[in-house]
Amino acid sequence: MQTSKLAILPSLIRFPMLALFCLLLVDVTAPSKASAGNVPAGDTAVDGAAIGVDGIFAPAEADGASCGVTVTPAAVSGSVSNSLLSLQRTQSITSVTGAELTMSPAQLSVITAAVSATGGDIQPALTALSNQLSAELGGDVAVDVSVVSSSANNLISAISAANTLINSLTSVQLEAAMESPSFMAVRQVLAAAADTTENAEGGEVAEGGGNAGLPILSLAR
Amino acid sequence: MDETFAPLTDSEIRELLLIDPNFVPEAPRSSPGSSFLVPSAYGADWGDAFVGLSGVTAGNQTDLDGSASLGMGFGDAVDNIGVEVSVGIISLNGFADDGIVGFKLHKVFPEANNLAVALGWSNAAKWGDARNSPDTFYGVVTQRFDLDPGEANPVPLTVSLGAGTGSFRSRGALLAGNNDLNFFGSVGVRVIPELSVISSWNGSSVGVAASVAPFDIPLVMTAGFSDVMDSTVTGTRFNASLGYSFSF
Repeated sequence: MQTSKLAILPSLIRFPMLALFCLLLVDVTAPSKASAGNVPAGDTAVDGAAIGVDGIFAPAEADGASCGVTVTPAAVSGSVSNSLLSLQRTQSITSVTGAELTMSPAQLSVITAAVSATGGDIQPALTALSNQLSAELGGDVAVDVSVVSSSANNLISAISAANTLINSLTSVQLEAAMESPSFMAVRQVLAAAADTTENAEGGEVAEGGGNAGLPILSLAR
Repeated sequence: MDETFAPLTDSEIRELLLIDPNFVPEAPRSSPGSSFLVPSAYGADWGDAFVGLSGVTAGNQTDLDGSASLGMGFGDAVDNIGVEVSVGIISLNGFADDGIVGFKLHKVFPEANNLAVALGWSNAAKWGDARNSPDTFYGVVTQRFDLDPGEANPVPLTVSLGAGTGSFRSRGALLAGNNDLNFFGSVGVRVIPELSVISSWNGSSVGVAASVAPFDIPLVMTAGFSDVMDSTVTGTRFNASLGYSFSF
């Protein structure tokens, strides 16, 4: 982590200095074809940028920091990993209704393979989870699954995608979702990651879980 | 005893299933500015408003002076187009004797990594001494690049490039008294979430500044020097501004 912080230092110096150098170069060369005038340009207030509030109007989803999320990717990844390990230990998941849903080793294996994919061709694992979720939600809905790296930004996107899917489900599918071990497990993984951010900077990376990603759910069109 | 339980309604089930993004505060966190003395393509949408005060020290041929501005947004730059309307009192020597009303149409493209573009007319309406200034039309493109992607603080580098008339004229155009198109730009790096450093070219001189947003409220302080090379007759001047934005 310390190495990462130090690695950014050259960029912090390089980019501003390069920009300043280029601007000064323009300033030095411009007088040869443009003599000094009698009025300074650019002193007139032009918009919110003139008083520095343009940064506030920048797209809020651009980064987690602008939303107050200061959790590190390692903390998010660790939380996901811990959640998976907990599922593997208990072989069950508690539904939002309080009911205990048993998970088979095969169901767990599919979820773990998709979320903990560490490279290579992960499409088979994603397809397997997609099929498993679709089947448990009644079979008349197709759920697409992709996995993104653990970061504050991606966590916001993953939770937003899951909530969008939940809002799109029909009555029958909602009932099925509450009784679906796989859906509840994926939901728990995301909820656990969200809880990690409550204790910003908290969370430990579980053994073997450093590369755990975040599942993005969506209804197939 | 006959105990019956009413089945959960769809909305009750959704309420149970939805994941609470409890880390997102209700109010957006403050953020320092990304440009200095030139516009960026980011602007206020409907529900955004701002007020600000600026001050500038005396130059070679000018006196210490201040300005005030307020503005608000309409529309939505992500869903369609945002429109920022601002009113500027360009001199506090004789309060509100001189002023301008400006517009900026701005658009954000999320699918292009939040690339933003804007078209503006800074002094569509003007009164007092402001009537002596030529029209300032401009177009600007702003893009943000994360220097440390994936980290809690991704160290965003915000680059704005634009072209405009009026306030952005070259020294040659100023001398010749015409209102030819000229280029401007700025580069800002948010070193830490509360602080950014900015350098800019306003068409006739270089400026450098720092912008800080140290509080959890959207209050931004920006201070810097315009014309650091002392290449215009007005010379190097210290500029400071205080901006506050709010949502409604």
